[in-house]
Amino acid sequence: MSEFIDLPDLFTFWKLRGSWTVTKTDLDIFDTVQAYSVSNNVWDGLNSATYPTALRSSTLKPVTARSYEIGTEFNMWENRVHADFAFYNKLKYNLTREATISSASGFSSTLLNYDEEQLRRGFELAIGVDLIKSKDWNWTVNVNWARDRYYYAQVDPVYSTQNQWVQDGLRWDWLSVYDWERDPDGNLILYNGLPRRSEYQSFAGYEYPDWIWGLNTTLSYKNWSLYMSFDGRIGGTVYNQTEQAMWNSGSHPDSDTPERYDEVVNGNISFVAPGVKVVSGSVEYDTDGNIISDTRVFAPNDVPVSYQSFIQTYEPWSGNAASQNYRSTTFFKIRELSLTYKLPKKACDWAHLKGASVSFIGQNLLLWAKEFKYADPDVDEDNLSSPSQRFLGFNVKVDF
Amino acid sequence: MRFKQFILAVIAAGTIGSGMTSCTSKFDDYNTDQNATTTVTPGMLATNLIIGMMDMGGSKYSVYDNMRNKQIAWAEGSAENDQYNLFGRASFDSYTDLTNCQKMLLEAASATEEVQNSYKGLAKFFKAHHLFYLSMQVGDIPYSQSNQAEEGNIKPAYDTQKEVMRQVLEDLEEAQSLFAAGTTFDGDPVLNGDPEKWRKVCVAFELKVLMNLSKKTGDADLRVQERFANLATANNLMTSNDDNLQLVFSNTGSQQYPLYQNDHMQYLMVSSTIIDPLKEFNDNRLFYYAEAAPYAQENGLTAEDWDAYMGIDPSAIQSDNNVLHGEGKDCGPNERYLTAEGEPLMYVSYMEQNFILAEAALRGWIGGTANEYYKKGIRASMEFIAEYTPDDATYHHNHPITEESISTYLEQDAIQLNGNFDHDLEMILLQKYLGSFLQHPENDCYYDNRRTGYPVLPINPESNMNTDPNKLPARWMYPQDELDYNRENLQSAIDSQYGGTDDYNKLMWILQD
Repeated sequence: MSEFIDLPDLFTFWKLRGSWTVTKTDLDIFDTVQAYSVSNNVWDGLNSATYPTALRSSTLKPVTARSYEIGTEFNMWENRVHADFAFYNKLKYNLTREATISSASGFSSTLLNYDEEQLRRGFELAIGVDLIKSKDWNWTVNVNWARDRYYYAQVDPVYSTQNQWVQDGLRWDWLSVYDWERDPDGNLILYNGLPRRSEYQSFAGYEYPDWIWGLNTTLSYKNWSLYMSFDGRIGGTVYNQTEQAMWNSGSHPDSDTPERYDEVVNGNISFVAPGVKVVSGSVEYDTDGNIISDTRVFAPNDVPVSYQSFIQTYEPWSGNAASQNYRSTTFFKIRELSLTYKLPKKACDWAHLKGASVSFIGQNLLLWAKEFKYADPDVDEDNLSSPSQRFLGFNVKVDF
Repeated sequence: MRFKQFILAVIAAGTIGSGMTSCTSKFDDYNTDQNATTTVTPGMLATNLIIGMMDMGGSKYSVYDNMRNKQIAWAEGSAENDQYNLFGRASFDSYTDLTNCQKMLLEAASATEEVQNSYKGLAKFFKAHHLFYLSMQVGDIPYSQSNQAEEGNIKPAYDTQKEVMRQVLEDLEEAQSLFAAGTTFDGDPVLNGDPEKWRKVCVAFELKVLMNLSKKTGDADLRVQERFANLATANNLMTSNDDNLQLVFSNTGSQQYPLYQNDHMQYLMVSSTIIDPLKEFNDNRLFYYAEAAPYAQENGLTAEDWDAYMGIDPSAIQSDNNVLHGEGKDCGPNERYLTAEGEPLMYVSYMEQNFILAEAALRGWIGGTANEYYKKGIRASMEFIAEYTPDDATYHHNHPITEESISTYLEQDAIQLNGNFDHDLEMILLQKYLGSFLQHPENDCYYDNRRTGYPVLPINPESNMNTDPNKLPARWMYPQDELDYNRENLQSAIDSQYGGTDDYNKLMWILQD
């Protein structure tokens, strides 16, 4: 654009860009073939076969994605400020899916094109500034900020999951969980002092983050330069499996309570869990779990139970996620920090080198997570993985 | 020049075009997976269906049913849902097995008529069996519209439970006639494809279905008593343990007893509902079912002493039971359950048939005395155990089951029937319960309790996880997938049966007087 129009002197460069594409992805090679799966020597030398539980339709359209992107880039102040902004929109339709169907039809899923459409929309903003540019000092800062979200553009009335948070315009990446039974104020309802899981699913959060950001900066003075990079995420929900496993096995530091001591050492059962109990009345739910009628009267819980029984009920085996362990993945990390010294030319010539530098590098130096504990939310999934590692080291670079 | 280029372009386009059409003609051949097969023998499908039906599952799955009917208690730490009556939602997965039945019949279409009859009988048996048990769990289920996905019906409507039971009975009777007109078929590792034996299995199973309909004898469409009487006199009953539909395990590959080398068995505690009656009646089966409690053995008793066996209350609070387990005041499973051969898993058995006939005689549905069938049932259970256990003190702790011990047992006063309906019913169903220890993986004993109140299963409001703490649940809830993908049909079934709420404690049609 800066070549067509006369821009004011402030802007040294301006570009507009755009693109529009349609791409198609075909099925895997044998996806439409219904073949038996055969096992050998299942019992006394006999072989057995079973028909697949997934129904295949033979006229399927390929998955199609229509995407467009618009972006603009401009520089200001003699190229000292550089900004880039892009907006994209990708619509995927003719999706094929192993759609779950009622098992009573004889099959548990069917591969078909269905009317659900997924819209992925977002923008990215990157700004780079040369704050100081002089003979000895240089300081550059780059910031980027992005938002990337998936939505339901259209919901299929037959094959899409039928629940209250799947609707046109809502986010695609929902998670659901069977929460604990709670009273209208949100307190845990305890039966004989122990919590009980609801039979109905509730909404647990959106899996992907709301925003992603990053910042890096380079500061140099003569032969020294310092580079730092930070980034983070805001939002997102992931199941914090490590913490639940620690509670369940009794190795969580917060489980060292007086009631636990009392039970193990003195043999007294004295833990009264915070929550309410039902004194009288009953409740009726509709098939979605909404309350139709509720005549229950609550009172504060006063039934002592074994601390271990309570914790092992409230925090079950880590394969069975409890709702309180779905945590936001908001985090902030110092991803890299490096300090480099470039050897002066005289020293290089003395050693017959073209150039040399020494750096001290640290990676993954600091992690602050708002709610996630004992595991790294950066990895997208906590599968009892070890905490991520911090690296410290130095390197020497020599040019011949 | 231009014209020439034009002609060349047309010729080129034509060649490419015709090349492309020939390219797609062989497409179907290319898209056939050479490593997979689209036709198999019907026997292979039959093997899968038969083994699948009797599969106990591994690790803890093999004993969840026994926790539910309170024959065992569990000491792993947290309270088990099945032991404490939180039934959760049922699963409709057994319908996909019925698709295999349909394919089995298709694959058998080229065989002789007699072989086809056997496979058809087998298919009818499986449909009746799977859907009977599914309906007993939840109530109304799809029956007439099920398994029609390939015709396009992916949201089948629900049939009433009465309709389901009627079709189950008809299917079982058709299976019996088909097996009568059938011949030996391939793929059966359990009864070797013998249609005579399968016919007896169908008869015994139909007797079980009819007995579960004991509250519906007044229904003119089902003709419960009439059907029962006809079957009982038609001479197609099982006559000994050799007719059992049972899976025999051995020390080969995947055929080992599921409790063999199974780490979870350290948490199994034999329940007081089994141990107390066995002690009360001086029953040698006690020594075959359990190991002596470690605490008793450290305090002067041996595995031969009756008092060395301490039962655990399955309805006590879990933390109390954990303490008892830690102190060794509980009995683990007998060593014979931890061997590779274990004992055969009885699925439809002569023992159970006898107890069903005893109850029918008690109710006046058939001739003969309840006492006669009752004693035959007890004898069948004891002979089964003795037959499949090596004669070694490790397994019977010097109280072996012999002809003499069986006769002594059957003559004692404590177990005799006395003509009082409730007392006799309790004794019959108690003996059925005692004979089913770690056997009969479906919920048969729980269904007996649900229908009649016997055998008496302990309920403790302080530990009961059911929504009504003073009762055992009466049913399971419908599956989540039905809610998500077949909501309308499910909703009308729930509305007509249970007033709109999928509740654990509402009574289904078969339990209503």
